[in-house]
Amino acid sequence: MDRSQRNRQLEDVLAEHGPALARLAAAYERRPAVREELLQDIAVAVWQALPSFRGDASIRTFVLRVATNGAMTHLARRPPAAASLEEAAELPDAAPTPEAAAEAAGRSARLFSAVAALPLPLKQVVSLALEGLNTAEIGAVLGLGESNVSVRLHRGKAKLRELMVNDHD
Amino acid sequence: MTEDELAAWSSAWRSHIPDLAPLHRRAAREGLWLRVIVASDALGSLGCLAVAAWFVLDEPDLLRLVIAGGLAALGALGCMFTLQNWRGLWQDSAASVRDYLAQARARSAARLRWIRLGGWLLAAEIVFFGAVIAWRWQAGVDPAKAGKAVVLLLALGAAAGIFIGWLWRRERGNASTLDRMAADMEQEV
Repeated sequence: MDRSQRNRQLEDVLAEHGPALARLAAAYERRPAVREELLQDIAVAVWQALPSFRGDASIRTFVLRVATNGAMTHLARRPPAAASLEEAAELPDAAPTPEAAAEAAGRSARLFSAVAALPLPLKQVVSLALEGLNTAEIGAVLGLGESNVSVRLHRGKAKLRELMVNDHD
Repeated sequence: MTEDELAAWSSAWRSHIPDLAPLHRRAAREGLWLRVIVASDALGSLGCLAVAAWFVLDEPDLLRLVIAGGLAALGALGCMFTLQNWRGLWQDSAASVRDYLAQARARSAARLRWIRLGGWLLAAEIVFFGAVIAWRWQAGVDPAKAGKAVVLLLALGAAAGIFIGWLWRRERGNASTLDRMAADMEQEV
């Protein structure tokens, strides 16, 4: 695959899965300035990994796996600093939303701050579930068995609910 | 806890559509820059080896041969550094997260071994060039020149030592974070 082909493919992937990558970056990095850096790192990792995509899994699973690995590298290099839930709720720049979506945006912001506050093993599973992956796909991304994923997802949902209730109070 | 609740969260989660217009251009540019940096590192190392070869071939004598040997060693170190420093960027990011973490930990351990080796090599270089300076001094070189060479050698050695120490601390932090992440990943459920 030559460079221009790969750039075109990256463009297609980002057009389709870019928002998911940005949401994943927001789940792993609370600091808005650093989050952009993480998102760029993830995009570069996807660009580098694209030639190895063989179609064994869906492109979405492939991209989310690369992105989660990119987030792991980022967390190892730049461990998260203590941050407020308000900071976590500062989402990446969004396209303009209509007035009617304001309430949904508020709900979405609370959800982002709660996901960002989850412990890592639960966050890995929950962030992928929120992107619509089933337990088998999450297991394939993380290298875990389905039963393990199910248990973590159950715990993650309970913790997420608790965090969202606390945030709301 | 119902599936409906997860579906509602998932819908709220995915309702956020970030503006990503410039990202793909930046990603492609970044990939190009990585290659430019690696190429410049490799050229620097090759330049070091070329200077060493020229130094010997231009006017062969024992002193020049000894210094060229030192330069060649530095060039080889530079090559090793390039390979090691950028190796992680080409690791298989399409592996599962669990495999990726295991690989990242192994590479971090390898980098720590390499940095430790770098410290020993630095000490060896200082001893080597110190011996060359002492030898030249005994052979009748101007003591002022020899003094300047000693100061330069110690200053460069101290700077390199500080840099190696910084690399070591940074990689230790990286390794311990990876260990914690892997332990979290492996924890019993």
